[in-house]
Amino acid sequence: MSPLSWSEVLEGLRLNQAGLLAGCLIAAVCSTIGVYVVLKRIVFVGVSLAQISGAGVALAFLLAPALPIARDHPIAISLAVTLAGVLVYAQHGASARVPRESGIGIGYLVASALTLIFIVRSPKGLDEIKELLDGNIVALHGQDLISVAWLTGAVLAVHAAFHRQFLFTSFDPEMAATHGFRVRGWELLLHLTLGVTIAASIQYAGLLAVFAYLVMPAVTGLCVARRMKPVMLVSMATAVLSTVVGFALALKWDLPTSPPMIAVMTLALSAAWLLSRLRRSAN
Amino acid sequence: METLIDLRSVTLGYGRNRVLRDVSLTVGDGDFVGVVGPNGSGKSTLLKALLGLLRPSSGEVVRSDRAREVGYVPQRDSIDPLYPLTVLDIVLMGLFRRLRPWSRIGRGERDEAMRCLSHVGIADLANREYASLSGGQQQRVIIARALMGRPSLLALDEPTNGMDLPAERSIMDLIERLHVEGGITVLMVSHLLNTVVNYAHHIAFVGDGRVQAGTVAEMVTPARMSELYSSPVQVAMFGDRRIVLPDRASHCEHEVRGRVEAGVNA
Repeated sequence: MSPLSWSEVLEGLRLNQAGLLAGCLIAAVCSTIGVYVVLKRIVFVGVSLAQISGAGVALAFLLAPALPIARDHPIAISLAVTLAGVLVYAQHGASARVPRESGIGIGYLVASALTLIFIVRSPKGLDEIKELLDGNIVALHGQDLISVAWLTGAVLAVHAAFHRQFLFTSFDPEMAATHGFRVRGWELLLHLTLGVTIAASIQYAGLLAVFAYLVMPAVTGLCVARRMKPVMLVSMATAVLSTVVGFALALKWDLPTSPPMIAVMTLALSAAWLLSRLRRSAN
Repeated sequence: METLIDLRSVTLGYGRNRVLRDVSLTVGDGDFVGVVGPNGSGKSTLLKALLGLLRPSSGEVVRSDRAREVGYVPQRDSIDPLYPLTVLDIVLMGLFRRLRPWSRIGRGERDEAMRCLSHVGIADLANREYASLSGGQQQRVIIARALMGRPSLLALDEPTNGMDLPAERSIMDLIERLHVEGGITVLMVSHLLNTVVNYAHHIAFVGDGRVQAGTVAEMVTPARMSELYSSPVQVAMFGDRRIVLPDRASHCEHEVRGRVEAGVNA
């Protein structure tokens, strides 16, 4: 199959406006929260929650024939499962004998195994694994876009309102506690926004893209910018630009959307890393 | 002297692990209290209890309203240099408790932050990245942040840890100036006994799961120090400064006698 011409790609983008907009919203919110994920060194919590959320989507596929809510709103099942995972991970420090990383790794493994079992037992079968990993953002409809807009809007509003609380309690929890901040509460809220974002994004954008959005744009931002706001803006811009370009490349060469997006993010990250090296050697 | 914090027979620990037992300690307004003891003895645990960050498993902690206006200076190592923050960004955090969601930081807040930076002598570093500063400069940034909101109590956890001698002296002189000129009560945790005894009025010695407290004159005597360290200790004056030293002659004699006795017994 020969690749599409660029004018055909532009026409394809116009026809898939809803998917493209939803992808940009998901990219924006994931890359904003991703800055905290990278700074708090909880990248593996992000991976594990993404996998747990994927298990939730798979569970919804399995329950769909018997349970109308699972068929009509798989996101509700995914959200419930992800939030349960958030609450378990928020209990860190409960055991001095088991390191936190081990708990996160076990969560990831159990979620991966359950995902496979749910999908194998679901009516549609293994094709869904591919869809779960890659997402199917091209197939999004207007109604899906509205759902994504509400969820991402709510998460971004929480972060805009409470960014100081999130920053202070992440950067220096002890000092924040002496100032009367409920550190555990703010940490739980941050994790909840992470869980909601992942659960809302994963069934549309897929596991790979969501995890990439959480990590790569934030690292790009940290390479080139030196203050929190610019880091977040660079992170968001990188994620949105990678979505648009990756979407176009996926249409042109008839590829799943995630790999071209990740390729563009890799290029942006390489350029940012090179720039930071040049800047450091110039100093 | 008004009492700011009063610990009454408290037991402190984490879960079932009891770190300190039957601790009674009073911090008065305008005091300079040094909390000293070996590494891992429970100094930071005691500080957390004094600041209300750790609930005692028994006993009572009474804190006056003024004791709630705390400027806390954590250990420098606990601050992650990965965060992309300038000196001014960090100092402004001292005002976050006053700001409402969605509100912006105004000129007044920035001016107050600059005043605190001037107070600790680093106003010219306001726009520098925190991670690019030296240890002494980073410590001044954290002290400036603690001064935001004009606290009545400054609590410092190992403020001179990992510093060379001039930087250590400079930070200690700054703390003394804030105490004397600003009238701020100081509560300072350190394992550097010789540093603390020359600045503090009261000493709380933490060791063997207990806390013994008193004035510097009461606590820093050869007999008391030898008892606390379970080893012969001398206290010398060098000009107006106290120096606590291991008594090597007594220590050697003690060791030789021990060896001879061991040899006789063998």
